[in-house]
Amino acid sequence: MNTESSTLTIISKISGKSEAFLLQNLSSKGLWDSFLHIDLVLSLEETFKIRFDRDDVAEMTTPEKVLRLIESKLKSDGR
Amino acid sequence: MKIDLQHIIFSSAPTREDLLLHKQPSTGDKFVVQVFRNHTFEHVERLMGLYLDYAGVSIDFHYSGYDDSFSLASLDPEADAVIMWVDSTRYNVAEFDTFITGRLEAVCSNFQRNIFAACFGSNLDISSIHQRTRNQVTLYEFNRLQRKLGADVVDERLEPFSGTKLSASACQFLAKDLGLNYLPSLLLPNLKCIIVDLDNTLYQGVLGEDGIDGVKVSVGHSELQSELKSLAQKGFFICIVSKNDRQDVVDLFKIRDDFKIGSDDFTIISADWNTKASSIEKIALELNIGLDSVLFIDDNMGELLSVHNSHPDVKLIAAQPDALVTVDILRNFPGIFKLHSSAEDALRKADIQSNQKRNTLKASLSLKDYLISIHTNLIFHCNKADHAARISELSCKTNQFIFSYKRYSSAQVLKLIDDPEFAVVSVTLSDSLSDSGIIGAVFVERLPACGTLQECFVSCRALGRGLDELIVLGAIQVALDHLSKTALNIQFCRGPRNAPAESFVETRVRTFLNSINDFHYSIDNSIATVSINQ
Repeated sequence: MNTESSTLTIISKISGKSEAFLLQNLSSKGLWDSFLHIDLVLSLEETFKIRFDRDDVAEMTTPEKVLRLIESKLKSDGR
Repeated sequence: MKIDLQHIIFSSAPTREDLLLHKQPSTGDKFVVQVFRNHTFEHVERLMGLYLDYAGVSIDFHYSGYDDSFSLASLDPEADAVIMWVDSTRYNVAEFDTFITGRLEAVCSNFQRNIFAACFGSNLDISSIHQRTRNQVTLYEFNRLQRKLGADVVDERLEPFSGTKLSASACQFLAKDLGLNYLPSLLLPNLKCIIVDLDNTLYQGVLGEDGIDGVKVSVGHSELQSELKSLAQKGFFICIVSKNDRQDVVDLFKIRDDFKIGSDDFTIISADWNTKASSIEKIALELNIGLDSVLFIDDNMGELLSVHNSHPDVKLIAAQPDALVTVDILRNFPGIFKLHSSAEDALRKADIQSNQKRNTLKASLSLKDYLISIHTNLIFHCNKADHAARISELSCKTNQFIFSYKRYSSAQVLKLIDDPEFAVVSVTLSDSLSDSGIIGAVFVERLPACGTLQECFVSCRALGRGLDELIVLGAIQVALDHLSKTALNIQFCRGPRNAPAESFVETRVRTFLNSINDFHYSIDNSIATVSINQ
């Protein structure tokens, strides 16, 4: 599973923004609202079999931060 | 037909993503529900589209701001229902019950329709609410959620972001429970009749081939039989439509003592070789109910399709090889969940079965002798507040003998009972064969020149006994007497299915339609014992 590609696919599906748009706006905030934020958290947890803590959830404000967080979680799990 | 949705909901366990992608239907009955909350309800609403689609309802949710005080400033009296979505853990526990009960009473006094209150973290007891308005409020039983999810009900980790302590799993469970059970029952009349096939539906096997001793009752089928028996006790008509030899079916229920349901639990057993569509139509006619209040359960998709093609209003369940799945579908089928039970629920089946005895008697005697022989007892009750819930129930589900389709809520009935310019006369009926309870009501308003009949409805169970005239005209006379009026004007609105009422109006009281005339009806005590309870 390609982490970056899978993550962008999930963000795209949840936010309704194309993956191309997300790649051009990796550092942009405000691409999803608070309801979609919860959907994103739950969808990522289910897909990657990981669990975010409260600080992680607060940190996930841009596509780039989400990507880095997923990579870091998977790395610390030895995956 | 919603069979495809049945599979998604009950057999394949939809994921959160499936639910988020399924939008509410644009067709079906449309409603507005106002949500007052101090924690987020949207996470439940966003998962509810599939379930509301299955239920055939479309709901526009109007939200208040987050408000721990529940000031109800934006209460919309025109909304179809109100939801009070409360997180009680945000309050001082000792004061919570008093506070929220007060707020519920405030909604009741300003809102006439159903109110649904879900108080997370509380075992709220609303028995202190005035009895007259208690039926207007339905409390969510959070133990349904607790039983299913245990400790997983709460997710405090996500609370700062989601605006609720309820976990994602809890929101998903609530979407299903509210979407299939509570909201359809708050907004639509309950179903009245469940018709069940026999072979591979009520048991495993084919009666004609496997024989009486050969058909099997699995754990699931046993559960299904118990569930149907329980629904019969709650007032649903349970009937059989089966392509089998009638004597085989009669013997089956006599011989198989491992069946959890007996022939006495069924209102009508139709076992012959007619099409199932025609048998279902015949049952609806005999019970005097509309096909849209019938649910048919069969394992054969061809039979289901055939019934759907003939009667698109009949609701359908495709019985599953694992009958436990069928039980789950039946328990969660929209229109089955009862918000409140009434005394009339228990009377219903006995009353219909007594109708068959009445018909036999009627055939052998003159109408007058027949009515005298069964000791008919009719009571007219004027402005009786404890009849309000049943009057409201009747007004919402009567389709055939109804004059104006006003569809009163319990609170609206109570308001009119309290109004000195109105007379609300309810009618109870009993005879030596059965007690039918409250079977009809009239609403008359006092105007300067006359009393105006705003609404009149009579239960299908009471019609055709030769008492229609006495019930309706007697009730009108009692109402006019109560309002000290001698002249009458009648309002009537032709609807899709109220031809029986229209025929009555045409033949008995046409002169009062859109004009004012003197009215006098002498209540005939010779055919029934009639009393008036002012």
